[in-house]
Amino acid sequence: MKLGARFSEFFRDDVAKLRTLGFTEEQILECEAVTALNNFANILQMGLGVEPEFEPPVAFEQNKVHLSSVAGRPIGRASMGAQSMTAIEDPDARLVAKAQAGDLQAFEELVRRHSRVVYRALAAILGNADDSQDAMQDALLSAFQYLAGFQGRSKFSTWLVSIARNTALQRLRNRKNEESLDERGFEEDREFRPRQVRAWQDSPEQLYSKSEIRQLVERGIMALPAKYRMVVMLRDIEQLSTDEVARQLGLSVPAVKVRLLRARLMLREFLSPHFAASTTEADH
Amino acid sequence: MITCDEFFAELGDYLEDRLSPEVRKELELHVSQCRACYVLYDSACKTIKIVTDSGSFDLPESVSDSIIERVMAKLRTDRR
Repeated sequence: MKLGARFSEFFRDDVAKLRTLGFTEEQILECEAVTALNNFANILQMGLGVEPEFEPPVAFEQNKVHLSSVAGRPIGRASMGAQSMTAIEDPDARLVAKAQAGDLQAFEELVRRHSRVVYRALAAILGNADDSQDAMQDALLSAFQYLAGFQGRSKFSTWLVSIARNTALQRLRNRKNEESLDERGFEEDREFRPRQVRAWQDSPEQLYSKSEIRQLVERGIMALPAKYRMVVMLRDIEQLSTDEVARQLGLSVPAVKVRLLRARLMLREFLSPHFAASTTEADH
Repeated sequence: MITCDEFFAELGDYLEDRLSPEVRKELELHVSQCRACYVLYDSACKTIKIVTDSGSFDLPESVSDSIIERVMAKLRTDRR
């Protein structure tokens, strides 16, 4: 409604709120585009000396606008009912309905199902285990607070992860030395060249125990700048496709590719002293 | 043969196995003859394998349980 009636006051925070409520990027973009076209038509009419006659779209009705083919259709009063819960097949739907009705046990079950992926989403952004665990508590409380507004336009797990990401991003913004998550520095990334040139052992993973390797990898990933950490977490830890990483982070595929290569090479630099053939004995 | 700069420009797609057979062949030829690029490629592949197989960021169950229990306790308290 704010987008239609007071579009000049529509800011990034409003987009974040819509994401929190489960709206997809496509749906938000779709409504912004329709509003912009509407306003453009009014300005054109004024320029032609005619009374502007396009009413601001305060809500978007189902089936009137079609950008994405996702079953959960755009923002609108008609889609704000219980039927939208069935729009996307979600294995969590039954528990979500119970939790929305106030069943705390159902909410707990949902949270237990997805706690691992929530934690990874937080760690990817915050890069600090203690901070991620604190943020997890906040994210789960926020999820419960906003649960009534969840419309089932995305899977519950996707919605929960988006809440976790917003919680982590808010914490990151509150840090004194804010880490850059944006596209700046994209060109310099192309110039990155690795410095470690020693060959690695043939089976480096056999040099350490599984838990040592896990800790080493976690330290290496946590030490990456946030914009690289997020990409490598989604691609190599969550093992999403490059396209999916781009979609989740709202980046272009080429930007993801550049960041991913940079992140992997930075990790290689970090791991090299532990796995390079000539120093292995010394490191042990 | 392609240069080291050209090899580096394609390295990301090479690691992701996204190259056309022709370009891939060029890169394979390059790493067979350039020690520095071979080392870079080989260690980058090993890095990816180590990271993907590491099982990192699995929150220990005891920590996860304790966070969830704190959250649920707060929600129950708020409800009263």
